[in-house]
Amino acid sequence: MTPRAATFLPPPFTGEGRGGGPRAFAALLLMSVLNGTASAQVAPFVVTEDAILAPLEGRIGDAARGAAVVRNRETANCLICHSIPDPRERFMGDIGPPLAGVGSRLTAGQIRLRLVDATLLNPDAVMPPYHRVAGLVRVDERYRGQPVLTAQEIEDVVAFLATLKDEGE
Amino acid sequence: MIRRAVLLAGLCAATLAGAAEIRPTRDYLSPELRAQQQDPSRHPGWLWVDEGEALWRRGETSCQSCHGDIARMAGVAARYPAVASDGALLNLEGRIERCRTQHQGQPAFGYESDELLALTAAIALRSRGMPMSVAVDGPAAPFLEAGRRLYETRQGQLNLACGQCHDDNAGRRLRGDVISNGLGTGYPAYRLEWNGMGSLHRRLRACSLGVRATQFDLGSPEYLALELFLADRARGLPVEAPGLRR
Ligand code: HEC
Ligand code: HEC
Repeated sequence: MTPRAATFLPPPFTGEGRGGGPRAFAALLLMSVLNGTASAQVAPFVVTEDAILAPLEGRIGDAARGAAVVRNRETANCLICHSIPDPRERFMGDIGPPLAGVGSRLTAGQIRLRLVDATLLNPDAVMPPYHRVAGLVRVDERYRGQPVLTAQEIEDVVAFLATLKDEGE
Repeated sequence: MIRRAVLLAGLCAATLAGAAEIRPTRDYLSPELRAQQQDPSRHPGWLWVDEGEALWRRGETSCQSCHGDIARMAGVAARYPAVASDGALLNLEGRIERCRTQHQGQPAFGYESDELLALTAAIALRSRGMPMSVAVDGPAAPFLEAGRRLYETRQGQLNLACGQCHDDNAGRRLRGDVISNGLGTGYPAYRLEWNGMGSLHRRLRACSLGVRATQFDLGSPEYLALELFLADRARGLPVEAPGLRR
């Protein structure tokens, strides 16, 4: 794993000066406007080694709300790929590693980076980016310009995963 | 070939996880579904097959009046999609609609209509077990490349390429589904979730939506090119249509 320290800031708002010009140009500008709007929904963050140390927007996560996000089949849908240690949950996926014990394996900052955008760690990651809008291709218009999870939801999920400690701890 | 098939039949899907090799879709089905797919008396898709065979014979300028008995359609599904003389890429549905409008002088059935699904299923059944062998050279080459690009591009809000599931994670579980190699060989297929027969393009729209990517239209150039690429991936593997899916 290559250690990296970089600032990932949202792209600048470039919507000004819209109108006029050939069609293709207008389309290009419109895309920038969408990105610009979107960036308002993506919190800035700093990557240190393989972690995002600071909570997004300084928000405080709530583990109970995070548990609900992780189980939600409409939005985050984490259990399509992962299992959590809960015998009541059925049909959990095994594409990603089991999340049991993840709070012992990883720090909150490491979990945060993996949720925000795992491709920052490994360009071939299968784990979807949950707090990113830039550089995504052919996003369905209902979701275009929005991250899957808000900054608050990311912090809630981080808080929940941090409670999943190895047994005996 | 036969020995390999026998060996595989004994393996359970879990042991196929991450396999680099592309395997027939039936290897990924639960033993129950696999058996049911082979048994017309327990396969609800046969309602469509029977209807398709009736449609084949119906009317004055019936399909049969040009092509003879439907048994002569053996091998056709293994060669589709194919480029027509006017340069258009046609899948089996597209070919049938052309016969319908150009040779029978009838209005098109329409994609996903029961009639079109029925005829497609009845014709595809005649190629069951035959190895896929689409042409991908000459005029088909650019379509194949377009399909490959679509397959290999990460897309949608979840930023996933087809192969990240269907190559890298085949055999693993996505919720209640065991991921197969994503071949089109079982289509049209009866899906219990649909409570009916559906086309490959309908299934592709489900995968696009799954990663929250733009869904292309049924019969769109994008899905046709993708269908050709999937057919090439399945080269040598058996046609399984009409498939049975959960
Ligand atoms: C499409 C499949 C998929 C979905 C959906 C998914 N993940 Fe992942 N996740 C993975 C995979 C695969 C990995 C392993 C790294 C990689 O290859 O991307 C991973 C890695 C992780 C890790 C690091 C685990 C470790 O032990 O290193 C965490 C934490 C995590 N996921 C949490 C989540 C949460 C929480 C959600 C939902 C908000 C989620 N994942 C949704 C596939 C997925
Ligand atoms: C997040 C995982 C995922 C991604 C990405 C994905 N699929 Fe699928 N796909 C599935 C699952 C799960 C099924 C149902 C189980 C099966 O048959 O593989 C499925 C089914 C299919 C099938 C039907 C197989 C059958 O015989 O019933 C085809 C064909 C297919 N996918 C092609 C594609 C293509 C092409 C893409 C990219 C445009 C794609 N998939 C993207 C998960 C995915």
